[in-house]
Amino acid sequence: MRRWPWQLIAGAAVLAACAGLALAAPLFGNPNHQDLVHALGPTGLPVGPSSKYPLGADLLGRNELVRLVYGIRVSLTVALVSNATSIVIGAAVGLLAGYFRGPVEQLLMRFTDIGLALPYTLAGLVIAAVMSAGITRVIVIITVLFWSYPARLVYGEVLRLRGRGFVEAGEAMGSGGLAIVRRHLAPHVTSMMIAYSPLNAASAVAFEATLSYLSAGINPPTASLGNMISDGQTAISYAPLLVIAPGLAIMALTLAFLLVGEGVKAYNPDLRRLSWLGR
Amino acid sequence: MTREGSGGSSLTASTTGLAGEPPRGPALEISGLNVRYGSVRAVVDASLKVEAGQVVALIGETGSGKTSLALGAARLLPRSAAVSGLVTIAGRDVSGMSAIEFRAIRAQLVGCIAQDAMAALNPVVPVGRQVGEVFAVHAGMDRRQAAEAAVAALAQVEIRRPDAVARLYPHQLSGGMRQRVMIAMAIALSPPLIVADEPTTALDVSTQAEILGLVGDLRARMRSGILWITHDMGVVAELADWAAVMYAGQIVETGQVEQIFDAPAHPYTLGLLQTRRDLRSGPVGAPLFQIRGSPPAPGEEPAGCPFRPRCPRATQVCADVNPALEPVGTTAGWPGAGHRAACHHSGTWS
Amino acid sequence: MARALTRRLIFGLIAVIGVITLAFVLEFVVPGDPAKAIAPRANSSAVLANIRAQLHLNQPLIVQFADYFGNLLRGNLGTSYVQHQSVTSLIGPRLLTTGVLALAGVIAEVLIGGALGILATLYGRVRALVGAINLTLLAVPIFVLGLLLLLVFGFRLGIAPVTGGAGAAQLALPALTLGLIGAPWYAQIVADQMQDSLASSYVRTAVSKGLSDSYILRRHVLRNVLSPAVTMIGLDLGSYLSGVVTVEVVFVWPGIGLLAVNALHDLDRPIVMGTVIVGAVAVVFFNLVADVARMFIDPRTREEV
Repeated sequence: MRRWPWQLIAGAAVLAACAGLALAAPLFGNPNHQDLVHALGPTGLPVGPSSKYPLGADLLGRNELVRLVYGIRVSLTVALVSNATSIVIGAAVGLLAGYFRGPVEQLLMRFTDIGLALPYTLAGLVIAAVMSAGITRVIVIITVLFWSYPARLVYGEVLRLRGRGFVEAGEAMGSGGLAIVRRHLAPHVTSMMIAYSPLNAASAVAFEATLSYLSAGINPPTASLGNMISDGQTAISYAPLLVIAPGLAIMALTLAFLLVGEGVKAYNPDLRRLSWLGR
Repeated sequence: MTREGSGGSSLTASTTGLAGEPPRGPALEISGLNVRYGSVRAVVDASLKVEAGQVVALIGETGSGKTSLALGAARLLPRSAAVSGLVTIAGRDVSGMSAIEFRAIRAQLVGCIAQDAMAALNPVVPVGRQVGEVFAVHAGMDRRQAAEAAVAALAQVEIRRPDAVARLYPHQLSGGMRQRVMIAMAIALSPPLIVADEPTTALDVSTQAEILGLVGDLRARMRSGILWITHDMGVVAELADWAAVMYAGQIVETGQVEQIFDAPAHPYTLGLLQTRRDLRSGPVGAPLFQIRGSPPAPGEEPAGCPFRPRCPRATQVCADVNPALEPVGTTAGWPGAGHRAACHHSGTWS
Repeated sequence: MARALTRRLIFGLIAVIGVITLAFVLEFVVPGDPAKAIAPRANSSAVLANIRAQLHLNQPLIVQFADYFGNLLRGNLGTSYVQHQSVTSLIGPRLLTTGVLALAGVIAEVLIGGALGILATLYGRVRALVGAINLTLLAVPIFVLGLLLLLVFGFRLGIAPVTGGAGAAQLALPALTLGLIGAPWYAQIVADQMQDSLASSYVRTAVSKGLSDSYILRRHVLRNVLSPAVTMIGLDLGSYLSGVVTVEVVFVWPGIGLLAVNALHDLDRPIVMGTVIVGAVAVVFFNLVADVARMFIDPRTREEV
């Protein structure tokens, strides 16, 4: 059995810890509870780190640590869901375009090209302008803006596989389209998407944070790492923890996904072999 | 970057770099050259001489060490290669010079022609400028003079409309024209030594014939010594005066081309010739002659003669003692003066 | 060369038209009553009906679209719901402001990335450090980096201004942020291309011509490195523009990005749509410029389809 690459272990460990926190979030307390008496000092400014408020309080007297944990929960949820949706849609588009060729291919790939060229923050703002704030909005935006990358990757892979003759051979033997897709294309495409999804998830985490920061994603009072930072920005000079803590959390999540991605890439040749055997 | 070596003096009256210096000895003289890549010895104690005005073919298959020998002597191998031994070009000890000393004069001492002209030319610079560079940097010309000199150099290699071609980029030229550009760059300052690394291998047969013709013309005019690496015996027959055959990093036979073709003194040379004869004139349908076995892997240094496993007449002494390059027949003397072969049974092959 | 450029131009136009259609769909078709948005406190249905008639909201969609498109061609991007000014008059002056920041950012990312890439190639010991720097820069979201820089250089060290504005002093930190975020990509490209070049045959040819190391680096290697870098700038534009928008918000740089985000906050749709259209046109235009530049630098791409 090969030794697992350290990136995979490190990344997975961080993700597991965050998942644990996310699941245990309710045990930490209520993220929206405002304690105007104890959390805000005599001048109205939030208190710093103490035993009751390990990360201090935010400007509205809420417990920063509790909000941080809930924010991590949101980020993980968004990352996982939007990762899945964007990859499924993207892979489907890529498969269809690569397998059917002709006008279908042209049409789908034109859409993909446009999707790839979009400035994603601006486009996100546009979509945000017509939807109401919340986790659904963010997931929709990320899905719409992220599917073109896997579509392009899958398309390229399908073309490459076609070049190796699987498809023609299958058709010559009389297999139907679906069977060819399932038995010849799917294993390669799946392993490629497995290798790609950690990178996709990392981008999703970063993008959700950016959107929420710009009030185009999840808006307060719901805690999101991004909107916690925009809330805390005005207090950055005297309570930098309000910005630094969620910032580090975002970085930790992103790095964790990136490391897992590196680890999976190193591991990928094995994945390929497995999928061959599985046929 | 890479280490560079410079070559010897030439006899051309128009030598710009070493103008006024009298000719001083052979174009190239190599003694005891060793080239190591890490623990692998690619060239083992090689000695070779190229006289002025002579074409010496360095023959061998891939992995024989011929490229390492030629480029090592010209100090063009990467830093990972350890080159030792004495190399003089036109009487100047090039192996002992510092890198900076050598770089200053190398373009006047040795011109190099690479194998793949497409890769050897900078894709984003017009070819005229690439040729002109040599003049601008080493002959002290300004941009305009260098450009004119470049056009003249292109004309010298029989490129038609050299002024128009000078403005083109490498990918816009045909393979043959690119090779001519490489040659123009190499002969720009009329160096006494030219090292050519299989320049016609990648060309089709008719283009190859043109290039060989061009080199023949140039050689008549320039009187530089040319070290021509090849594995093609046909090219050797057409172009070379002398030949040196390499096997497993060692020179196993040297001599005049007629001598070697008529009376080879080493089984490997015989094998190469036999292969060629069969290709050209053997009966149709008969199996082609093949030297059975394969050369030793790089780094393997078996005791005794490296060719022994494939030799039909190997004896015990061949397994014990690696034969040195010895004169064949009655001609004696310094390497290159006569027919020499590294074989215990050198008289028995023809 | 002209053919390749024309094809790109046509594709760009199609992309812009696509964006315009999308913007139209989102602005007028998606639920949300524009009339109410313009006059939220109006409680007379007659007023609302009047507004709707003015905006042609009762006409069939095709007519509305033709209207919209026609307006666009005349440079009329609609009227802000909140500020009651034409969107064009709001966007116009800010174009230059954003442009300056964008240019400064590109210069920063190419310089920083290029330097990192060159250092990593030439000095083996630095390579691991550069790799670690790259990974960190890739993992940090742009606004977090911006705020950190603001905290350190603005508040703690006091060498950068902490209030918004469009002055030269205020340009430093946002441009630096953009530069640092984009640097890893350029470092990678420069390092890869330099490695390829240094190992290539034509560098050996240059060496055989007796050219000095610095000459070779300057006149041969760098040229070959420029081409993929310029391509990257072109490809990068979409995501780069996004970065510019975010950075403007972080540092309160009064450009188009800040305008759009504020408009989003104020539920002022026309401004958001107008900004996106301007953004799309800008991306297409600069992509074309990058293509031309690349064809200029690398002659092999001139006949590319």
